[in-house]
Amino acid sequence: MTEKDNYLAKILERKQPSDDGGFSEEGLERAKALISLYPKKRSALIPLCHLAQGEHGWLTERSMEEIAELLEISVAEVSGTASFYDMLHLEPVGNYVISVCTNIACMLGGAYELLESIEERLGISVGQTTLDMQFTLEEAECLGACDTAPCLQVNSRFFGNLDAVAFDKLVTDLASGALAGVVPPHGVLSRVQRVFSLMSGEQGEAAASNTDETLGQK
Amino acid sequence: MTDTVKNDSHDIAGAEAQPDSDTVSLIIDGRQVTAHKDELLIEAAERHGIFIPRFCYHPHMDPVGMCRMCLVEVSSPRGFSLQPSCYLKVQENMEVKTSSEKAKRAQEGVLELLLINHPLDCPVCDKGGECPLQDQDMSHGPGESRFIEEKRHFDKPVEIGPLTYLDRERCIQCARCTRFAAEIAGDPQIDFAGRGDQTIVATSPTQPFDSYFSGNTVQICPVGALTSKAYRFKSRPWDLEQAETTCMLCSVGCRQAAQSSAGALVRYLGIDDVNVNQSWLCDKGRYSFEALQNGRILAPLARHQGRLEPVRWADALADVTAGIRSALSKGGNDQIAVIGGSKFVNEDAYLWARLAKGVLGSELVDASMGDDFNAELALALPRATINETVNAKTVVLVSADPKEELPVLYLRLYPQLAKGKINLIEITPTRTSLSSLAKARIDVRPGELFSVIDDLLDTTKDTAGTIKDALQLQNVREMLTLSDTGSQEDRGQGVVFVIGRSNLAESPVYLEESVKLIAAKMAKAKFLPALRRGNIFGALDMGLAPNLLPGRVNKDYGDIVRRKWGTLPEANSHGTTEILSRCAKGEVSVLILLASDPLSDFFDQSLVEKAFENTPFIVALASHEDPSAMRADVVLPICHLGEMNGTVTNIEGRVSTVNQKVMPPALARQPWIIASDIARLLDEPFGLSSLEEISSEISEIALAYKGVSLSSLRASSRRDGVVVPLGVTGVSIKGSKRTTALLDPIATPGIASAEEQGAPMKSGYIPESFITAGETDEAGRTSLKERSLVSIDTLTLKGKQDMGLGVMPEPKSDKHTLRLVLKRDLYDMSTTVLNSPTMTPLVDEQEISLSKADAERFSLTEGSLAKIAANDQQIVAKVKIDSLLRAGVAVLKANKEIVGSYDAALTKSEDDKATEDSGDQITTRAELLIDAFGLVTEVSIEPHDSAKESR
Amino acid sequence: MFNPTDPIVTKRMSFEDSYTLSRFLATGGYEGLKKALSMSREQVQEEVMKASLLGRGGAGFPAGRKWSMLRKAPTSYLVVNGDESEPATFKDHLLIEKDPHQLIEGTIIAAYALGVTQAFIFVRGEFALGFERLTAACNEAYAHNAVGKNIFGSDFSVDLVIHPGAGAYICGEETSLIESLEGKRGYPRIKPPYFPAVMGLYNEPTVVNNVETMSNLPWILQHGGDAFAALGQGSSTGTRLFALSGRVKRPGWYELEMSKTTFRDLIYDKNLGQGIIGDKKIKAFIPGGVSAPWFFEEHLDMGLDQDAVAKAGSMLGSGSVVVMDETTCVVRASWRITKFFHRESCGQCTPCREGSGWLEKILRRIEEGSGRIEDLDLLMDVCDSIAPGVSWPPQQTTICVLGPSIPSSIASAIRNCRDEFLEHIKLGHCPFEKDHILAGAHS
Ligand SMILES: Cc1cc2nc3c(=O)[nH]c(=O)nc-3n(C[C@H](O)[C@H](O)[C@H](O)COP(=O)(O)O)c2cc1C
Ligand code: SF4
Ligand code: FES
Repeated sequence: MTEKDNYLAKILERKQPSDDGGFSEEGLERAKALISLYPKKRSALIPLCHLAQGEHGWLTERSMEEIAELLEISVAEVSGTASFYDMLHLEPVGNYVISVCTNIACMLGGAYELLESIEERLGISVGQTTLDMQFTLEEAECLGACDTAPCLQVNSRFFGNLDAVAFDKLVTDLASGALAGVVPPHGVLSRVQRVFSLMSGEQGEAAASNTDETLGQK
Repeated sequence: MTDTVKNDSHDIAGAEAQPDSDTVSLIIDGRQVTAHKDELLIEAAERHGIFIPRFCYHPHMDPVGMCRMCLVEVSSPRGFSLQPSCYLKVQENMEVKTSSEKAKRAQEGVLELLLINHPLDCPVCDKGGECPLQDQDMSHGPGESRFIEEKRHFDKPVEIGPLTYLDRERCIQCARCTRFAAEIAGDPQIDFAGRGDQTIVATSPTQPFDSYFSGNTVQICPVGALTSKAYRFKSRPWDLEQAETTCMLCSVGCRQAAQSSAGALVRYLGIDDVNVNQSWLCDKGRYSFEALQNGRILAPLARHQGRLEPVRWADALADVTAGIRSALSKGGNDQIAVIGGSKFVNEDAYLWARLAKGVLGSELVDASMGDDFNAELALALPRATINETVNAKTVVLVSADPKEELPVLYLRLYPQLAKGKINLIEITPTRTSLSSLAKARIDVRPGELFSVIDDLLDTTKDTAGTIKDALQLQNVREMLTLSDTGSQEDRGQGVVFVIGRSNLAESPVYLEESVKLIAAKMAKAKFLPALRRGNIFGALDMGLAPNLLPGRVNKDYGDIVRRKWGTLPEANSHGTTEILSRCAKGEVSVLILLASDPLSDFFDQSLVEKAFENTPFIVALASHEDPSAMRADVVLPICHLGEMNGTVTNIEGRVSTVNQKVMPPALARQPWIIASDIARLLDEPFGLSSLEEISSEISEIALAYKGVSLSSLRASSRRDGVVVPLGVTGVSIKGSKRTTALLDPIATPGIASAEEQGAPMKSGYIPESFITAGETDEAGRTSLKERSLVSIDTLTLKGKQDMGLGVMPEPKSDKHTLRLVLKRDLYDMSTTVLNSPTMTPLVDEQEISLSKADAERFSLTEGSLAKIAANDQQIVAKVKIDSLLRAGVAVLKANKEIVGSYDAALTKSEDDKATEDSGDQITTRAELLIDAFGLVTEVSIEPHDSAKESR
Repeated sequence: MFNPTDPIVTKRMSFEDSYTLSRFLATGGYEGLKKALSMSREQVQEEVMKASLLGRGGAGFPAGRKWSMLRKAPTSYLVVNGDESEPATFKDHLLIEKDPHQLIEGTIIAAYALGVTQAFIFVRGEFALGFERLTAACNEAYAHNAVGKNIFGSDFSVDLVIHPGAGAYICGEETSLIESLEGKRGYPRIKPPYFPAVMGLYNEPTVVNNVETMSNLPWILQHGGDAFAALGQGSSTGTRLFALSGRVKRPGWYELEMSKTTFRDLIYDKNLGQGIIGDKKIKAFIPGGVSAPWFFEEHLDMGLDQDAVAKAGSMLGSGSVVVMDETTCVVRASWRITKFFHRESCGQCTPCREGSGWLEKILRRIEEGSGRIEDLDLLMDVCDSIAPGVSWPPQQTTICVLGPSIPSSIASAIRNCRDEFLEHIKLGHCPFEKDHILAGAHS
């Protein structure tokens, strides 16, 4: 099997995960809870896409079908809407999506130079995924951390003031799992779930709070 | 005040702005003009002769103001600013400059920017020559391109659905197609995807664009981004010739333009008839032109030694007259039967009615093929127009799914329902495509319609059908105007019942009795009889129906007709089912099929089979080699829509013209000529030698058609047709902005290049002398001035035993487990679909839908095969589990492809016995019977083992 | 006079655990809300009116006035705009991530003043940690009875939903944000005729306010609108959180008293920006996000004052200042900003959708050395197709003001640094010695 075949096989594997790509049982419960927060169902579209992406790393066809069903809209409306947003991936991506900001402030801080060294380090260009499906590289617009220019995100978590050396260390740490507490799997937006339904004074389960260890970083 | 013609007497509801509170006055380009307060600036300007360029604007869709092409300078307290005229409503004292330097600069800028990434592949583009982008570039564009960069690229045409291609490079992101799909058709299978200049129109990765209405997106695409499989590369606009005509595939009767190239029909486009189809068509109608080229019968055929062989017309007609003479000599008038005729124009239908009843003296005549209800009743009901229906306060659907059977009626209803403008109440045995928008839905079991209606209308009862909740019932009754008024007279005010057969397996008597009850109890209710076949209303109005005579009268009023026709049959008859039963019993000598195919098109095929076997002489007038024609003894080739002239009458009673565009195949004739020849050969010539002569005879003796003739309709002021009986004008809705519609190149692109472009179309325009002013109710609707010539009173007074309330068949005992619903899909095995190559693949196989509970009961799973026996028919169908279907009901579709035959199932195999012995699955056949009340009985169902069958 | 001793919105930032409920409560948290609940709705509105709090989202419309325009209806909504995506802006990011309870407190105060029953905080999707902390804070606030039913024993109840975005700059525009919150593509709505206060979320009256605007409310309630108005000058009252970035020694956020502080202070003061990297000369600076026309050396002594900046032909916008020095290539800078708008145009309006791409291509061509003299006129002409007249405040041919923001950087660069463009064209390459990564290699 050539490396290329391997890559394609991995892509295929991700396109048709062993499960059918739909929500897990827990995910479905959470989806319903999310829908209940909005006066109109369709409002839950983006939260549900994030939820599905958190389960599979990307927005599978099956999950879009399920979202359409849950929200009583067409699948084309789900995929069409989702494709408007940069963070929602309708194709498989690597375990780590690296988004490098090159907008004005970061550019003035050397973002393009950084990006070039990243491409060299990972052996891919912007828009591509490494053959081992570990890293996907994106060029991002301003991420809102310009004081740490040049900066980037890995799975939507910030890393700033980077150069080639610092990036190399970042890749090593990601690969070794040293950053597991900081960088959750791609698609996971929040590790804390809302525990209150609307107009309730009661709490569903033990309320996770901001004193949780997971939140102590940055 | 305006520059439209002053004697627009059809505007009785004041749709043309009158200087009242609904009117505003504003200044456009220095001219003081008036407009309706809800009118969009772009429309007001256009009515006053000022054309503002536009792309995303469409007169029948809500504005989005996206393309920015229609920017004009508009005054505001803070000075003039550029505003989209398609989005902004007119306002009192507004000042507008549509072609100031600033407005022109903005328009030019937008055009230049629209073109920079456009491929400019006009020479190979279907739209080249009739392209609004091309046209407006000529009139409003900057000329030279300053764009030297690389253009945007996408893969060239992608097939986004079975009938449609999309070239994303040509798309200008006007959102017309996506809005149509979502807002008008309710089929949002396409949507924008991506963002910014990477925005494309796209389907989801998993679902194709297979809406029944996809062709409209092709028609309204202002560039060549969407093209249809059927028309691609067929022609160039400048090679096209065009005739305006009326679609005859269903009774909505959409106005359309038939376009031909090099003598062949290549395209239909919807015409913006504001009363009927508002420029839309369904795909079946749109792409049916293909059927003209396929499977045609080219010469008369006669059976010699068992085989059909081409013969000369004279010989074929001699055979026919010989057969008729011998039948007449044998046993009188009931020896000859005529079925079909709903595909005929009125003139053909009239002459065939005259032949059958006046010459042959037979009352065994019926155009409705067993899927309708009593024709006298249908014609006697106070009828609503389409516009009245879609603007009613409440619409009650007691019919089949309009999306499947009357597609453009669905298209008119959907947006109104989606916007919450109508209350919809559904009283049907299965869900329809409108169910999700219904305010109330009463699920009726087959056989229980009458009792449900009875309960509903009897306000002392506290339950009706599935509605057990008193409050909900109260709401429904309020929507029906049953309970909010003390006066019996006002009951049903603003309510329109769409009535038709929602279940072909159920006796029509349930529906007929229900309708009579409604008409009796709700004085102000109106009805839209949902008989679906092409020109069925024309055929009925012309007398091609039992007990009816031309002009919407029955025999009691037959004097005028008798004077012309000589004699009229004495006997009464009950339509196609009865005719076929008589044939099956060998009581009929000659059966004449008028462009009808009962072998595939009648719900009880075993009855047809028996009828064919036992009728000695069958004559078929047919355009195509359909199964029934191929079984006939003599086949007479006839013209098809596109090849003939005449008038048709649609569901609301609107008479409009059908016009020939291409020549029929060599020997085919229009049916009236054949009737005329036969009459002559029987020595009773009609003395009518042209369509015009027939037409004027109709307008002379058919009461409802007084004054309506082919020539009067051909006057351009009547291009939308007229609703008969005259006296009902095209109903214009108060406040409606559009009374005249131009053949707008953008609204109906493709017509831009046609000769007719720019000719004004008047809605339902009727000369002054014919107008009997309608009354205008509070809601601003002009009521139909009733001139029904058959009245319900006469029906009940005549006391037809078989239609009285007392004789409704009692539902059979409920010992059986399932009741059958037989209904139709848009794409069935009809002659048109089977002979239109792009549509043929759209017919799916027969399926039986069952509730989850029933499927489990019979050990059937989704997709498995089930054997079904109904009467003497046996079929195998795929099982579909429908979670929304009520238990105890099974659904089949008429005229679908059958997976396999049932033969093997009747002789039980050893394995079957073993199963029976072991006591599980199939127990006794009796328990699996479906009870369908009346028409189809003896339906059995069991799992099908295809392996066994092949043995 | 800058850097007030008692900051208004950043007072907890120095604490490691600034985002926790315990720290919040220990530092006066939810006191403003309690105070508000003890007052009438009208009194709360009155305080905000007195404070003359200008919206911090970019347009600078007074919050009190916006509230007073809310159409009376049985249902209305409050939506807090935390989509912060204007390049070089990172103040809401800070406020969400570091002090989520302060934002919640402000939001509930506003909800009370407006009498809404449901409020949404729309958080930019990329702020995952902020979203997580805000979600946790929302849980805590419900548990603490600062949100939900009968807040702090009053008869006021309101629900709060933290809603994530998914990556689209345009969703910061309030009507686009509303569409996005309705689960649709983020297409701005046409206004006039309807503004959110009349027809917003689900076509009900809706107030949309920025995160920083909300975060000021607890302080205003605690100290009174007058105390707030006492800071700053004219209509620019209170403090504002400025985001400084670009070629400065000490980029970062600074909460400064409005008007009284100048751009020079911000960029050069030893407690603030500390001057230009390598002590180079300043070439230009952007005063309020990349949508704003650029300022130059002559504007350095202008106060951080909304009206003054507007009068000088630009805007204070989102409060983000980007500094370009003499080593900065203006062609490249305006190209990169234009590339941003090209990528982020929602695509509805032809001028914005197509114009942004065309401008970007021309600028890139000039930067890469294939520019033509006539390109400068062409650039200005295409700008004119989007924003007729290319003036400030802009006119527009588009639905929203993203369109007319596109010409800002281009017109600033061409009008003020025309020679630099000409040099590119003459040389056939970018004149800056620094070996730039080729512009657009990664687009
Ligand atoms: C293209 C565009 C992007 C915007 N982005 C933001 C944003 O990210 N955050 C924000 O608060 N306001 C943004 N705005 C301004 C909002 O439309 C709105 O004016 C603001 O949220 C109102 O809040 P305020 O009155 O509290 O300032 C943007 C406006 C435009 C035209
Ligand atoms: S100006 Fe641009 S971003 Fe704004 S609505 Fe129009 S296309 Fe979208
Ligand atoms: S914006 Fe008015 S026609 Fe498109």
